[in-house]
Amino acid sequence: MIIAAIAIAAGIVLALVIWSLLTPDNGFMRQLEDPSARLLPSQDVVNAMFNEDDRDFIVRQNSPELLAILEAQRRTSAKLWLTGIRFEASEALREYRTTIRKTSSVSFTEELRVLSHAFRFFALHSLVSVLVRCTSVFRVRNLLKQLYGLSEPIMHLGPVTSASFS
Amino acid sequence: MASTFTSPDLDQRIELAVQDLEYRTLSAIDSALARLVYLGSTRDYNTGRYHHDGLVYRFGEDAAAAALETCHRQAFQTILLAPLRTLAQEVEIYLNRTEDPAKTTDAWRRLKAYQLLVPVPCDPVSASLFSANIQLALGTLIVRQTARTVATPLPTGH
Repeated sequence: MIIAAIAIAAGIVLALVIWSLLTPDNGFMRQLEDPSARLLPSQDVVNAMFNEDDRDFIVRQNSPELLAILEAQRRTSAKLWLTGIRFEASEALREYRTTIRKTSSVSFTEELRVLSHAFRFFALHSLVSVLVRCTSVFRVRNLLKQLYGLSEPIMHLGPVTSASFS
Repeated sequence: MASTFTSPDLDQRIELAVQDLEYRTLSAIDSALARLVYLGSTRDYNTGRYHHDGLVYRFGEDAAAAALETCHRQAFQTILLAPLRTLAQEVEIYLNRTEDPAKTTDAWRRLKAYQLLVPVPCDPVSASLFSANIQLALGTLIVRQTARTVATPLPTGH
């Protein structure tokens, strides 16, 4: 019974990862054609984006329309950020595959660490992408922050930093 | 852009120009949003180049442009990271100081002139968050104004 549940959960996560990888955000991809726009915001901006105080402030205005606008706009920002962070993580991993592996000897354990970390990142990314589409982003803001934390070592994959990869 | 300059002399002039700009001009502007609007207005809409006659005279064209860009980015970051409550206050103060606050509010809402305040380059998420927050701040002002209008009884003319 437990094994079946684990297998189903793993299947769902895998399906989400595949779905997430197969559905690029065309709007964001178009923006990425401009190399100067290929930047991700700092963690401070991500924290500000999902600041619960902003929601409380809008709730106090007693305007359901304004609250709906806030939720919709934060959802748009979150989706934009999720697409950007996935793109950058994929690029960093691709670069790692093509350059780091060829130029320096990477141990099997190190490879396994990178792989497991990347899998955790993409699995959480897929889960958050689904949740952002069907619930308030303020409810998943801790997951979004967790995702930012998981992305950091991937973005800094390289001959020096990969040694401290954990 | 500031990041492309490498000459130590130029770096020093940029630093001095930033200090000069902060001391002589920006310190006299008491609102963060007004500072952002001012710095945004020093950028040519056609070329994207920053210009300030006084700074050019004292520090040279490149140093002046780099200093203005640096300060513009800082002012933008301040507004971007401000909580909505603070931003709504900033927007209210700024609009109330204009000649016709109601007209300016309406123009900001319809023409989205505030989008010109975003420095270039800027990541798409920050640009989107900035626009969203200004729209929401304007929205709160309109909601409050509407509530005040409803709460205030119309003069009867007696």
